[in-house]
Amino acid sequence: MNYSPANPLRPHFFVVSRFKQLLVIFIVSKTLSKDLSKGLYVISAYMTSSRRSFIKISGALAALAALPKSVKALYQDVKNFFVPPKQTIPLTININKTPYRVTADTRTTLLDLLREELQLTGTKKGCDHGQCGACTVHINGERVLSCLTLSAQAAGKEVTTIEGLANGDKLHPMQQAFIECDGFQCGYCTPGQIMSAVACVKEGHTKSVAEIKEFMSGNLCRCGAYNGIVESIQKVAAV
Amino acid sequence: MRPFSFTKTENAAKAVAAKKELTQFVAGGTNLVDLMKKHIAQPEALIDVTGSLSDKIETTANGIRIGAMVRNTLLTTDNQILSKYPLVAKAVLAGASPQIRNMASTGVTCCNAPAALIFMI
Ligand code: FES
Ligand code: FES
Repeated sequence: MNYSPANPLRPHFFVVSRFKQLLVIFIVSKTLSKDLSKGLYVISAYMTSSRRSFIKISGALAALAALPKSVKALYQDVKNFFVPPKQTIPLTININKTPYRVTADTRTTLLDLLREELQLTGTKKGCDHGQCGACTVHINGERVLSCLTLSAQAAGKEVTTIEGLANGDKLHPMQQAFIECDGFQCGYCTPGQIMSAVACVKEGHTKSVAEIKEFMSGNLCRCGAYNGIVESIQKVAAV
Repeated sequence: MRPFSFTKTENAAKAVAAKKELTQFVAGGTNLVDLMKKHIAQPEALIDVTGSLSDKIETTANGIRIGAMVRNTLLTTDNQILSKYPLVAKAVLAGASPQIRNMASTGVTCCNAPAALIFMI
């Protein structure tokens, strides 16, 4: 078979164009039928699916904004279909024993709330997808990932971050041990490592190096300071 | 992420009654929040069911009943599981990280849609 670019028999060409045809037919039929909102929803879902299309839509909407007042109401409706308005929710969260009252976008993760709204930047964002552990905090005494916790789900709970570990100027024993045992290099993963390590000791998973490594496996360190981290944990566990 | 409304319900009946077409239930969030960040799930409304479902493990006449909101970690530390079904604890320990196991619920662990490669193409 000839795979030249213009050949419609090229499997990829066929699949893509067929998909686009179907999509257009679906959107047009949905829009023409009474089900206008559904059609628009499908378009918006399709178009908000990437940053590039988001920019395109924003551009188109900006052009719409130049229209006279009478058309503005329609513009608002159309805009709400393409870019649904954000929704906010009032929350009270206890962070490091201090109650914080905030009105947050429902989409805000606990990590973004800490870093962007409350300036508690000790907690780090590594992957934002639950794979690296840099964002580890304690909720009601248990280690969790703040990047996968919606702020609204943390409402009313006790959150402890790296800022809440030290007692005034006196470091937490784990923080002290990390310094003494060279438990870090660049320090980016360290707040998450320390929060996780504190919980690891509390859970009692420190019987062997293998056990410590297994129960610290949710925290990655690009600098490879793992041996120092294990040593720090052994040191604190031995006390 | 697409904007959404957020509500909590106290029991399963209310949660089911509140569910509409573009509503999704959220428990631990380890799965859904990730999918929402990647624009794979785009709910208009989220219902937090963490307070609606049982988080207890009970011994029954025929075996053991695990509540849907039992976090993965509890499955690895509960004495009823450890004495009667230690393989369950072992299987859970073989997956995810301690942080995720503290968040993830048993109900969703059994029926989730992990961010498979097919979503990311
Ligand atoms: S930022 Fe949360 S796990 Fe990587
Ligand atoms: S110290 Fe650099 S990533 Fe861990």
